[in-house]
Amino acid sequence: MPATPVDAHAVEEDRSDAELIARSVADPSCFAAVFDRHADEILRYVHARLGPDLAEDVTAETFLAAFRSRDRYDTARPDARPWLYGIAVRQIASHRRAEARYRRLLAAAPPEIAAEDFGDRSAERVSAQRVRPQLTAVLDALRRQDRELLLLVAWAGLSYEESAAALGITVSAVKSRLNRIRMRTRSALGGSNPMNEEG
Amino acid sequence: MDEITMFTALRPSPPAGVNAMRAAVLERVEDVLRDADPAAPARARRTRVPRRWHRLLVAGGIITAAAAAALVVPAVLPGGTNGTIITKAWAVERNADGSVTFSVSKQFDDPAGLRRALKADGVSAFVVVNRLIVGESYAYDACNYVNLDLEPDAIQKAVVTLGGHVDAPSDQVTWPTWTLHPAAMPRGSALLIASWLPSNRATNNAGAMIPLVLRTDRLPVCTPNKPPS
Repeated sequence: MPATPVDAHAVEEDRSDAELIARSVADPSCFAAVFDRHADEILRYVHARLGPDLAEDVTAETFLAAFRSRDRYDTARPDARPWLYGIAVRQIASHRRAEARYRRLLAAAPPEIAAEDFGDRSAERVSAQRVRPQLTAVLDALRRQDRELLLLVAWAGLSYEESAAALGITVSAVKSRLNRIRMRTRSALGGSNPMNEEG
Repeated sequence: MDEITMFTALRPSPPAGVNAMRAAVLERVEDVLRDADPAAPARARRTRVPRRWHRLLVAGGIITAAAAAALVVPAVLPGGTNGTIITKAWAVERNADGSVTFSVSKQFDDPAGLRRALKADGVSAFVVVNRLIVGESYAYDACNYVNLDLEPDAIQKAVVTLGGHVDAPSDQVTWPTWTLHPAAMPRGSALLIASWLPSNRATNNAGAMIPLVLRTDRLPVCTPNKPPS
């Protein structure tokens, strides 16, 4: 069969994360594509958790840890995002004080809510702003593992299955914990959900 | 709206500089992967790796694998102390399960004290400090340890894990915190812990390299390091 010119970049794009990671064990350069796909997302998440001072370093630590443990990646999982988030969560956990400081800073000076979170649902944005103090209090009072789960779902947008994989727990545990958080939040908001009220 | 989704309201927006941050990290990772590629020209690998990323490479164990365990560390000092201790230079905390968590600060200048504290918690370690020349990737006032006699990877992973919490002020734990498991250390083995410190201490780029488990409790022979020509 005659050789056909192949666009290596296009080939990499077609490969799953699992395949790229498996290949990267023998050919480390394959890991670059995994980074290209997910660094942006992980950086944004780490930044949201720890602030700008640590975001760059912790993101680098996350990918270094991922690179070092790539030979243990479960190739039955085609999407590496949960794995990377799991590593990022552990890296973030070693900066608890910085995280707590940043959260306090955010609570003291609430940032602008990202428009894409709510689209044109301006009433919900207003409601969300209104209950920020209560939500912050709930977040602060959560157990660490519950807070990690909540933020993976609410901030990183992971599904229940992805969150379970990231944290190494079962999907039913995810559901159970989130229900507990819902009840706690509802209670903190006076037993009602302001998002369901007219803005 | 679901209560869980409401917490999106607490997520801070990315700062204006996030694109530059992302680009910087991307550039570093590209350098790392290029450096780890044995097919890349040696001179290009050496000159392209930023100083901090070089440190991260070593911390990640990548350079040790890619460069045949050629490490750069200076001399070792003696020491002696005990328990859960926090100093300006380092912090050591003994955990209930017998493991020991430690971190160093950007003011790390007491390798002997850290060595003593670890020794008191059952960890035999060589602790050394690398003085990095700001703007360069290599420490010139150090020595090379080549062909280190290391325990197998499984033992490395059993003895040393990244992470853990030291209950100390944040400026005492400015770089990765490591948890050591003395019970997993084979008899006669010792750790080699190198910290990287800018010569002028003007940045936050201090940090402890991943502790490596040596097969022997003797410090490897030091070969004086020379700047790349």
